[in-house]
Amino acid sequence: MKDFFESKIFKIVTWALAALLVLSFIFKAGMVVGEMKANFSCRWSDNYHNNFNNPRPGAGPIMFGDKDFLEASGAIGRVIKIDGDNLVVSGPDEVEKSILIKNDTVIKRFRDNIKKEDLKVGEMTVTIGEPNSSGQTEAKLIRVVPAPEGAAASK
Amino acid sequence: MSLNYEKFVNNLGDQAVPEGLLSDIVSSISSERLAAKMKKHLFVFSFLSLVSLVASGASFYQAQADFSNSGLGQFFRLLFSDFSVVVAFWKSFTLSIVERIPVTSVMILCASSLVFVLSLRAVSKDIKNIHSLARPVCN
Repeated sequence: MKDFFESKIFKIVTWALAALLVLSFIFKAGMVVGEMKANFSCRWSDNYHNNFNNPRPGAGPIMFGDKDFLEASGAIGRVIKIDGDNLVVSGPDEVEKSILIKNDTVIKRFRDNIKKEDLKVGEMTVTIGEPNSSGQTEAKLIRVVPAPEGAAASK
Repeated sequence: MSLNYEKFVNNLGDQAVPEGLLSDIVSSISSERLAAKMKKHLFVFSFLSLVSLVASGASFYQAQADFSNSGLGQFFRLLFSDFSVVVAFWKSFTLSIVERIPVTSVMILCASSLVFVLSLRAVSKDIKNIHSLARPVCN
């Protein structure tokens, strides 16, 4: 028995189990993230006209730039519209995202906490939040950040 | 080839053949064959390491571009600017990061780098072996 625990076969089995555990964990994480992105993209597409109030010309399917799916848990982009509690940002891939500002949402510019009324169209924001069933991101934190140099020059 | 040498050496008679000549000849022939094989190996792995080096460079630039387009840097900056808020909403923050990792370009970069490192190791091993075979056999 003692020999078995010091044998090469035991080491191989142990390492194989550890590798399998890590691979399974990564696979599960990929599945969870993929499912979230797919669900969010589907809801975003279904609720596009409601959220953005801006029907696109033509009846073709709505695309997400060069991506398969949209990121569900956060957004980065320039504010293009402020409509009450709804903030519309356009990301680097030119895809709009609807950000829902709630009462407990923390909004910051530099060191200061600001109100949603202080946000301006054209400002660059980074948002972390959770996707909801309407294809929006419910914001937990919205931070106004300086615009990237290239983007600032091009605007 | 070794059979011909054997026949030749057998026909010479015992007095004319120095001791160990046959084994020296056979070992020389086998080391020549091995050297030829190593040179072929060396050529293949040198070519492979060159190709994988170019691929690694290209995939590095692609990964760099994908990372900067993903906005990951902006999210990581939140760790320094809004640490307490990030900790409070760590789940959303982690998912925001994980969703944005450009997995495909990272995989391509890792694969090409791995091929480069392994082929470089094979090249260095082949060079070492060829050098050791090139040493003259002295009796």
